[in-house]
Amino acid sequence: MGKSRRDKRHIEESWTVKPLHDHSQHHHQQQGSDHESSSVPVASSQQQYIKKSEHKPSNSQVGSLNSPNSDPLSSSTEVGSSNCGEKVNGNKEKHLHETKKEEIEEKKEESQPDYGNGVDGVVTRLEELFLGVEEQELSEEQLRINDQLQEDELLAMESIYGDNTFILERQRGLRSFQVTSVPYNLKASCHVVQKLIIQHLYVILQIHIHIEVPAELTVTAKLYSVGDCNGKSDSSEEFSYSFQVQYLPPIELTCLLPKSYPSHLPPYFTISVQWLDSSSISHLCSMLDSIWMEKPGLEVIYQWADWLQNYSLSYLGIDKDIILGPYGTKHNEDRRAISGIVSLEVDVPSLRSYNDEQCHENFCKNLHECSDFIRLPCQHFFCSKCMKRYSDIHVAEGTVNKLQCPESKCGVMVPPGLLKQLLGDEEYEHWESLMLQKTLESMSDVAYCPRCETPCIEDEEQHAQCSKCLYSFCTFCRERRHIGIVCMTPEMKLQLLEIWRIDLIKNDILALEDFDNFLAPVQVKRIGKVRERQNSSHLKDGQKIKEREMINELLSVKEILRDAKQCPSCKMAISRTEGCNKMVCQNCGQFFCYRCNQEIDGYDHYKDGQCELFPQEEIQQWEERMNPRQVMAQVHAELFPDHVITCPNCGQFNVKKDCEAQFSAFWTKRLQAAHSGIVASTALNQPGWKRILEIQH
Amino acid sequence: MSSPSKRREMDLMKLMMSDYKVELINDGMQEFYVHFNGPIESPYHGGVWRIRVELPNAYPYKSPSIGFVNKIYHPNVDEMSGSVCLDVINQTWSPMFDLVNVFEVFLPQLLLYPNPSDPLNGEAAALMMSDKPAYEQRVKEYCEIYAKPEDIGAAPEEKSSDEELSEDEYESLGDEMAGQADP
Repeated sequence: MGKSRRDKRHIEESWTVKPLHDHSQHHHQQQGSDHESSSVPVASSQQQYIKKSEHKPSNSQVGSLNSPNSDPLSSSTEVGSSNCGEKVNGNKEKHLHETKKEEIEEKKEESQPDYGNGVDGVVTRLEELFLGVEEQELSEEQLRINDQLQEDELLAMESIYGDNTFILERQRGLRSFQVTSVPYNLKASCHVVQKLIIQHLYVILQIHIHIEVPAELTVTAKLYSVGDCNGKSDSSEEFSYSFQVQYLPPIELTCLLPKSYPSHLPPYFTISVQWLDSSSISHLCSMLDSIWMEKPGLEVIYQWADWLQNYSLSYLGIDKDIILGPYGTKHNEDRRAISGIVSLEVDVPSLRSYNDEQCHENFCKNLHECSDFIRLPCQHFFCSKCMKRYSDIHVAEGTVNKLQCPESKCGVMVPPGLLKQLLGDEEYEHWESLMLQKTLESMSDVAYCPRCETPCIEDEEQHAQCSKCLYSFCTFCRERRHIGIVCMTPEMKLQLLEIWRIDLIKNDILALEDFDNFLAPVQVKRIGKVRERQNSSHLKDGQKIKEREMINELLSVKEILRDAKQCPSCKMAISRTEGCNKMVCQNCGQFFCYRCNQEIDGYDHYKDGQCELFPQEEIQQWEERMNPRQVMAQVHAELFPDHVITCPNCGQFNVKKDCEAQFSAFWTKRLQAAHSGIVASTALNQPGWKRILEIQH
Repeated sequence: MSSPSKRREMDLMKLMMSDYKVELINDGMQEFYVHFNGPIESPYHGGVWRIRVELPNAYPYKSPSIGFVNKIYHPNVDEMSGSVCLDVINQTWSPMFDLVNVFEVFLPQLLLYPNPSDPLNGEAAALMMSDKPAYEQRVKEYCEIYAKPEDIGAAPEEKSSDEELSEDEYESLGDEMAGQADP
């Protein structure tokens, strides 16, 4: 009613919620020095509390809390202390309880019945609980023990839960001086003292317990239509909204540790959950009670926190679904259950925004120190330094086809504009030329002019004409176009070179050392020119070098082709040292089969049976071992192609040379057929058959 | 640049944190051995292999090189050299992958689902296709003989030098090819 659920995070007027590990102040206090802000807390209608450490040891410190500065008050308090002191020293708890009760009742009258969920509300409820129970008197010894145990427990909880623990402390305010104007006089001052004394009766500890949300937890908010307050679900009337979360706001367990904890009493606690209704929470409360009952006398806060963290969801039967609501039900009687559920409009956005914040925080935690991030068109983000290095490496190695989004299975190429930024101008040019080259290579109908190296497009069969120098050449062998004549393979060229060399040397046309000046023309026609060439001694050095290069290239091509296969799309020669038959061309990224040199994509090629997985020779060898007769027949068949007939049984090629049947099965059938008057037309032209016919007739 | 070595360190640490036994060589973080257990629902279960990992200088932009030191009977692992034919390691490597991925996902998947249609070890592939139980039996036999925990500690030295050659060759082949692309 008016208070938002986020109150706990705001600082209430009279409240300071400080993290438990504010050790510096604790220690400072234990030295017995006064608190810096010297004003004394006040009995106003708002509750005020001091830190536990200030008033820890015993009653005797009550006096010291009255700082010398606040003179107007000190007299009254002293009076109060002298009056109330006895009472205090005697049945202090009882008395305090009574006055406290009065206060609470006053508060009840004046303020709203619902204490709200803010820190104030929590503390008020706790106090209510506290005062509702008569604490028995304990010996000094026992109190000390309890105190020590509590202190230890607090330290332990802090070390386990860290930032999620809070101790509620009182804040000093200037209102202290207003006390005198309150018309309670003595009673008021009693209030002051009693308040002061109350403080060291207990400590309030709040723990925020973050539950580990199971994967795919869905939160559903259902709002029943007006007539269905009692929960009858009529699906047509129901309005529900579902969403998934990875983070839920924590369960806030607030404990008030009385003096007789842990020896006699459990802490007074409230459980506050934003996303559960009061009855569910009160189930949790009863569970906590039973946990205490299992081992009374021992510290229990850790057991509670642990249970809430790990077992509360399953206890409530929540597995994958949380249903918010029901809305509009009465408040549960259990004062300890504080439910944060307000209404659909409030709960859903607040849970969602909490979830989003936590996701974001988690995301931020996983970042490292990179300052700049680059976003690719596929919406993936990468650190700019890493992308730069990635691009540099691929451009340096020439593997520009691999310059894709590093995200696995994404495959989107890095856009050129981005590359320009990453690479710098020089490297970018390098990249451009590599890309051009790769693209042209992958196009099957592009050839480079042998004279000026400009790319040209192939016209018809193996012919292209350079647009720059108008050189018309054959795309296979890159020599001048030769219509009607078969291209020379590099081996042939080399052989020719050899022959001519020997020939020319033999005929004293070419001296041995002049061989380098000799460029073997490919076409036989050109031989005539050789002699002219030979005689011209003004061959430029450049040409010499070029010729030598060409020879070297021919030799190396020969060598390469002996062992390697060419990529079907870019013709890069690749030789395999080890590995399987599926090859990836490093140049253009094309997958191909090493056995049959075809482009493939995946492994299906091998399954279909299209690929010749073993070399033909091996198969032949195998077959030879199988059936010499078959082999003989094959050989015969090849020798006498005109006389080949297939055996009707097995399809084997056979050769019939003369009328004697070499393979009786075949001829027996034929003869039988002839006897019965049926003549096979294929056999008619055989000379032997004619004879049989003649014989017959 | 410090970030690549930082990445190496991180990967190595992550691997160690995921309870894999790692043996460093020379503290250089260039190469090391990892003890890998056969995945649970495969015939390789119970076998322990020593796997040599070599991180190239350009890691993570270049894939690590992976090889089995002690013998394994698998269609996609060369029995003699121990090199692994796995597309994610050789061809489709991404800098987003790390060593934990390799040992947690890629290698177990390879052992659970070999690819016999394009094998390095033809015999294993053929056996797997024709007689699955016999294949599994063979795998187990090999595990008994070569992949016992005692074998890991005493992996033969000569083997690793052979394997180095073939793996390096394999790697450098790729580099050479790439080098040729430059005009």
